[in-house]
Amino acid sequence: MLATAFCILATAPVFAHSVSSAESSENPPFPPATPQAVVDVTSKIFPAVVRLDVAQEIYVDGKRSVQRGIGSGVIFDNDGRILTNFHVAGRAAEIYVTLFSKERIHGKLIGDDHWTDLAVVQMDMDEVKQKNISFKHGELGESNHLIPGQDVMAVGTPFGLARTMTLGVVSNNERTFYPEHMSIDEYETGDFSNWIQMDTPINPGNSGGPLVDMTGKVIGINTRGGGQNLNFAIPIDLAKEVISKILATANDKTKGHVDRSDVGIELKPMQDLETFFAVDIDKGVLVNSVDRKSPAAKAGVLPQDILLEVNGRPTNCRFPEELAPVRKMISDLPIGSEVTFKLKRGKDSLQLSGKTEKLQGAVGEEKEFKTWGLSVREVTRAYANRAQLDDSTGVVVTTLSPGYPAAKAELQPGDVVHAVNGKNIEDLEAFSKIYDDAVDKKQKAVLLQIQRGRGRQSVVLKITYGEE
Amino acid sequence: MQLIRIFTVALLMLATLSVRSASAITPDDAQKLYDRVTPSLVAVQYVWQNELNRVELTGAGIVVSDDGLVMAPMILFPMQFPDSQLKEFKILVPREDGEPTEYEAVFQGRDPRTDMAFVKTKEPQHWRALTFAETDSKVGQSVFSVGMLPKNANYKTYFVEGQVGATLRGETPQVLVMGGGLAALGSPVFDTEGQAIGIVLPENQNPLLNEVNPRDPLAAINRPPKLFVPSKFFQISIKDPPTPEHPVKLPWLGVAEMTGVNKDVAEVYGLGNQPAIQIGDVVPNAPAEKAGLKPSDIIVKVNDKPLERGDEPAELPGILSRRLMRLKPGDNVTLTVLRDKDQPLKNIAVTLDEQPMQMNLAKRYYADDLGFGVRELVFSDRYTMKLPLDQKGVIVALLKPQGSAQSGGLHNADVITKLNSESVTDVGQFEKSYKAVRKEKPTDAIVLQVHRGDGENTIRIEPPR
Repeated sequence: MLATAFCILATAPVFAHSVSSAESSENPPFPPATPQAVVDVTSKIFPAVVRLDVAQEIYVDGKRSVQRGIGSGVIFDNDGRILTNFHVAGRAAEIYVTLFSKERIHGKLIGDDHWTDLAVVQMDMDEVKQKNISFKHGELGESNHLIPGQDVMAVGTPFGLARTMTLGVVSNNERTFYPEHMSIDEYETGDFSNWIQMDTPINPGNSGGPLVDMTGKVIGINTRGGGQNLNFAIPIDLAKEVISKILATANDKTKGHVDRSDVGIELKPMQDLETFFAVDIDKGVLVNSVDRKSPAAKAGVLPQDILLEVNGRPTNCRFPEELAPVRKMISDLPIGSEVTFKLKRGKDSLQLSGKTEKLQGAVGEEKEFKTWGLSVREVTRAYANRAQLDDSTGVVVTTLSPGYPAAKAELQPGDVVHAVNGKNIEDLEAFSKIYDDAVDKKQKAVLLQIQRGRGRQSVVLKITYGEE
Repeated sequence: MQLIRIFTVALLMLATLSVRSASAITPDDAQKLYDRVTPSLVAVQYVWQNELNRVELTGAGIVVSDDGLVMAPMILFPMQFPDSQLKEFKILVPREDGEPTEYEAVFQGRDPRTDMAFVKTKEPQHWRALTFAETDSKVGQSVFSVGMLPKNANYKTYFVEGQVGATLRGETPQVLVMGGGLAALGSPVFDTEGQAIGIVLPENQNPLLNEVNPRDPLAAINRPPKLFVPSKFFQISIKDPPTPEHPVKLPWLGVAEMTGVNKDVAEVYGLGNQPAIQIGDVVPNAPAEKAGLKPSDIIVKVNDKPLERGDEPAELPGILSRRLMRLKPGDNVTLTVLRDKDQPLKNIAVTLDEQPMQMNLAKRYYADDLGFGVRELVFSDRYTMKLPLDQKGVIVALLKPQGSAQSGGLHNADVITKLNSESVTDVGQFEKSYKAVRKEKPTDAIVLQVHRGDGENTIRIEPPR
């Protein structure tokens, strides 16, 4: 066996030489990084890449604060819209855009989607006109034809340095991180697509910048680093979908977002379990767990069911890389629509049906309450499931201001507030109303009913009001 | 002038003399106490034989009855060690002229009411027992303790003198001793009359005499403990020690997550200055729930008496638990509770049940071939993991490092509910099914369904080749 392999290797260069000289002149498998191509692509893409200085909203010590960071982005249309990562510009309170011309203008976050780690920023076009700035936009290409070995270029502003380009190849075009669930500061991410893995060096600050092929088209958004020359980009095909959904839902009052469906099933690849469950290879996906009170739970789906079809479309997943497309197919279903599951349970075949509901992350809206000295978040369905709460009513304490009433009353992050002054709290809005009311009336003792672990407890906030 | 000067110098000399010999007892008396007490101090040794390894543990014990009953701090026998794995009990009696004499012994049991445990020699002995007197300690009073040095000093006893600094209340009442402090954990404490008045039982101290921190082998001497528990607290254990046939049966109320009510909350509820405890949760089908108690109820009286105070509200639940532990299953207790502001107090009568079995008595099974051990689910597992209280299955208690089960992705505390296609009900059934499956198809992987965290997981374990 080894001898044969050696022979093949020995002859390979001869083969390759003759093949490549024939191929390269007519039909290369991908646009190559010839010196001319590199120079052309660089000059094409540089003017479209921007540096983003972002002040992100965070809650610290019971107060709303900002965390400053730097990332990159790519302008993708003539209206001055920029594509970047959620972890760069999501939750932005303030954005500065530095263009190729080195001019600095304001930007505004018009929408984001933490599930795919993408965000869309709008350049202040009035400022652009006023300062007589001209810019170019990048051309968005396609990512479904990328092949390992293909030459690519990453452009961005690593460490805040002006436009930097690095060269490399696509290392893998279906990178998955199963079974770890990735997150950005507790926001879920990465469930609905695989990544492009490339070896172009990228560094902190490169996030959000474009990955381009040798025709200068954007085929990915540089997102995270891994090990030595092991980096990951979001495929542009996915980004294009997200952009159009964000732009469709963005307006003056609300941020653009992507709505997805959820049925409450956690899936697991069938790998090596086919014989045990007596299914054919490449048929079906394992239901690993079913979320409490979810559409699937209500429909009667059970763990260890084999999900064969959803609404008639096959859900085959033998390997971890095949999970993301199946999850995406489910999430793309219209929210609130009928969904049928075709399942295999033991020897039986079943058809169960339910209604999809809106996908919610575990991180709900957060707000500060200065007089009481704490910040709280909405309890979402996903958070309630994870923390094994009875239901998703109430708000959860996130941070406390040292020395203020909430901290002095020994409230803790993770406590769920269920009632204030005898009134049950449904959500963040209800909590805000009662807070505003209590502060208006200068109430000195506020009675809270909280849940900590399995126990309920009364907590009293003692508030002193300063001289006005 | 000269006379005054001489007089002053003489006075000063006398003063320094008395400061130097400021001990409350003479050296002779100290030696007498030491000689009298030392024969009652022994080392208790046993082996924890678990599925993966064998550990020998030795700690300090006190002879409490002439026929060979020895009392040692319960911390020497952690509840995490299953009772069935505690073996080869021995009492070691130290000698000046050689290695300690070893006596075979039998574990008598733990007493969670007092945090003491008992071991008895197999053959009856004629040893000198130590008897404890119940006295209250006064600030400034001198106290003496005699303790055992670790194995590397052949368990030699040593003498320490200290002064009472304060008495502390709490779940376990303790006396703070300054000056020279106290001897090592488990040592008896004496007053100036030579009466035994307590045992050294501080928290966060290593109870072992055979395994010392190599970087600090004389820890107990370099940093002497400063707290002892007065005899009044553990006297009931000595009067009524557990035996293998009659273990201590603890009563159970079925109330969880109690919190001491602080003054701000007390003010809002109109409770004044009386100590009060708020109930966090009541366990379904347990005495409290059956009697009508509800979460958020505030307890203000037990059997018509106010609650015992601690040094701070946070200590109240622990103090009440200790008090209730001295009752027996089947006893009746009346709790006076406040259900809501501006409502009259309610008297609720509860009949205590028996405490549910704890994990140290749970049946176990170890699957040696795939490297994982399981045990019976007990009440506290189901309660803390928010499982239904009638949840069936077995819980993973042990994973062999680098074993097949660990590489297959099984975790500690996973609750196994299915083995291949069969539902798992308990350890006995699991052991039977598992052995059958492994015998029938030794090279096939097994598939387990487990409950983990807030969801389920399917784990495939492949046997080694």
